[in-house]
Amino acid sequence: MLAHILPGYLNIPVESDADIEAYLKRTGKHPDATIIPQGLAGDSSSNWWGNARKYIVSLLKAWYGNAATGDNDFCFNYLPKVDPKINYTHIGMIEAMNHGKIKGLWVWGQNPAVGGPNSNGARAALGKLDWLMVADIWMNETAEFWKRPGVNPSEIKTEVFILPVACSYEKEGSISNSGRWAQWRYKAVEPPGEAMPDLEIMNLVMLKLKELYAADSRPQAKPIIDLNWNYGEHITADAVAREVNGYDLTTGKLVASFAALKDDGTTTSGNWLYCNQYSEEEGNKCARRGTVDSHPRQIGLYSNWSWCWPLNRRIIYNRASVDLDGMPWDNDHPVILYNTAVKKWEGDVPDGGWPPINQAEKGAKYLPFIMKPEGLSRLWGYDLVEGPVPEVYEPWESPLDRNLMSGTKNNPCAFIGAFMNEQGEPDQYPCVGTTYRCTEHWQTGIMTRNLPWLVELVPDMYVEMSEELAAERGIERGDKVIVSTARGDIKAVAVVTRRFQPLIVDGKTIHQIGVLWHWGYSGMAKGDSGNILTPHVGDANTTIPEYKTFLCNVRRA
Amino acid sequence: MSKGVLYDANKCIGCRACQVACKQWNQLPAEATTNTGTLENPPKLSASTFTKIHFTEAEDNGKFQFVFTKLQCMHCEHPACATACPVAALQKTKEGPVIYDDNRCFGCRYCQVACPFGIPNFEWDKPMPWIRKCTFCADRLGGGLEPACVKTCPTGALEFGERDDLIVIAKERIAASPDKYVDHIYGEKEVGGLSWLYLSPVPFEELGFPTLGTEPVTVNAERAMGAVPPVLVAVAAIMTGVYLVIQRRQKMSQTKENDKNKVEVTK
Ligand code: SF4
Ligand code: SF4
Repeated sequence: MLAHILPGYLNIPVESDADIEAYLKRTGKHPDATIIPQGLAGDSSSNWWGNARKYIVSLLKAWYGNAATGDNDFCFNYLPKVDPKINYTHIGMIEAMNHGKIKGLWVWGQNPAVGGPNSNGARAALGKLDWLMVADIWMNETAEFWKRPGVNPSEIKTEVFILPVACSYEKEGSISNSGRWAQWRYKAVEPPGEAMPDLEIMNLVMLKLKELYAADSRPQAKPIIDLNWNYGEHITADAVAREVNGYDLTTGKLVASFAALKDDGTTTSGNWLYCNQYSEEEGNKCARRGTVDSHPRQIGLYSNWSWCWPLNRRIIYNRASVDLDGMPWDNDHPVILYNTAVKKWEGDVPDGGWPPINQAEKGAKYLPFIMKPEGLSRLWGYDLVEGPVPEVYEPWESPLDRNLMSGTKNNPCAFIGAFMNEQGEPDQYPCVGTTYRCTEHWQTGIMTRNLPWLVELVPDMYVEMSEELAAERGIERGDKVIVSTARGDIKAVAVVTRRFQPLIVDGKTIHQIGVLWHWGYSGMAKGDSGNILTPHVGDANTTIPEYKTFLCNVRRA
Repeated sequence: MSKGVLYDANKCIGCRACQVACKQWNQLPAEATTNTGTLENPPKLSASTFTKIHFTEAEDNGKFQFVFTKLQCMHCEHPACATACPVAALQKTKEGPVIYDDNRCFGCRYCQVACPFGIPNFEWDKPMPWIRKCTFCADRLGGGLEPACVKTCPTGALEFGERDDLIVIAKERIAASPDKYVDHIYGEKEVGGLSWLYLSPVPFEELGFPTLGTEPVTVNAERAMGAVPPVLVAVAAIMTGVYLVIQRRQKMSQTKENDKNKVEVTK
């Protein structure tokens, strides 16, 4: 998914990045990139990414240890380098598997045979691999793709390894939420049978790899031989958390903040954004469970509960929440405020500790959007491939022959897959399909379709449609129906509901079908996967799949 | 003072976390279900399902509404089941729950016939069947905890408290948003009052609630038999007989261990 970055939002290097300097220049993460906007109250931009050299060097020191020195550019050339013309995201990966470019695949806690679009294509592509390793808490459809309904296992050559892993209650470690809190969790029970925490599996695999490559003199063996991997037989999440935080190699102590990271090889950090999560004084801050809101105005920050990247700053870009004197724009919900008497910020950790623009010295009046070279927010992201201004396009499969809002029908930059990706036409597939989830099942369903209490609530794959469409097709509530697209058919139970209404678009009645996608051929409650219907079409910038709209038809089974 | 729960259909999102929490706390097995064309399951309350959310696609003044209702024992202030029970296996506690004593029950199932909401279920499939229904988590209440379903509800659709206080809260809610609620707290007065109280955006008949008077339903054993259709009485009587025979047979084959655990009340 995040194929374009290394930890800490450092870009993945490309082939032309000869050294760190060239890499930083190309990615704009260089002090040279700083732009000072003219004619504004603020006269300085911190361009924080200008510090990226410290972060990439500290990362390389964490990964390659003593082997990484100033003389060898800190082993920068050990990093895998991508070809910018190749799409490395989920859809691109499935297509590369089909073309035989990917020989082996490790799947950790994912289920691409159900979760990605165009499941029939994904399942066929798995059969092109030499080997497949699936690590999951349940047997899933990806692990069992070779014996899925309709295929002959003897014709599939892929060697499949299945590693049972511990679930979150059976291992220790941190989990980061989308609010950026890293919360520490403890082991409650032992994992069943042979299941192991994924961290331990990785450790054992890496130790074995190092053993296998130890005597290998080829250059491609060097990154494995030189990898700084010294956790012993039993790796702990605690050791990894410290390493992610990073050390000052001159003192052997944990670094207190990313401000202490250096580009001379004397510091390490597995992820500069996580510096400060573990400190010599306070220990593992992710494990904090403070339930008192220490914010002076009690806005509900709870800053002593777990730890939040970066530097326990709960709300990023918080300097944009104050005026030029450091006073909150919204006095009822102040995130930070400047106490002029003591010349200090109060509240959340400020995004850069400089005084507010009006109180700062000339030449040090820092603008608030510190991660942008010009220090300002952007109304449009000028690095979007089809930007700068958002546009409405019809999806790849659309019941309309034109875009009712502008002249171009489809997004000219969208990623359109070529593998088993037939495109349907409205005369054959007049309905619009969309996929979504129900409350009771989670993602590909493998964690919920095996729980009897949840299966009781939602036992079968179903689709939802309007009473009008059902009447047109002679479908009764509870009938088995077949939903078909150019890429495949699925069977499901029809839930006929007034919650679905026919759409009137450009004077035409268009019916919509709601497709759940949590089912597959593994587990306790089985059913057809909704993603058999969805196409290999991806967003132009991220290749996030176009799951939400496609052409289909429905009939009684 | 007696406890109650206020269920507000306007706050309920139909997530059914309460259904699962109830099964978890009471260690009830999952039922084998199928999708019959609705999002609702299991189809009805049973000896292994003490509560469920009922989904209604309602039409109110031309406005379509998807409304949820939580079904479980109402824990009546004057429970008909308790008055019908010849051996006082069902009793209203002063704390609120209508509790059931396995050790007293001899399986007549008059309570099933007497309940105006059709709540008590019989474990037909068990060798030693008993009546099963929502316990109001009396075991949790005794330990100072709120019911499992209330505890798990993510939206505040379920609120636990003193019944009198809940009635005040419910009245305030209706007064604050008269356009969102029908002006009726179901359970305030029905059959002399229920411990579980309901607020709804549509008339309660549309959600399948029975329209009941304010008089408590008092049914003694004989009246229970007289008040219900003869066929039910006959079925009940036959099943009672069958049950007693089964029970005697099982008792004979029971281990001493089991005997120790059961107090004989049918003699
Ligand atoms: S009060 Fe307890 S027994 Fe009754 S429905 Fe709620 S969780 Fe189930
Ligand atoms: S848990 Fe609460 S919101 Fe969810 S279905 Fe039950 S009552 Fe409604």
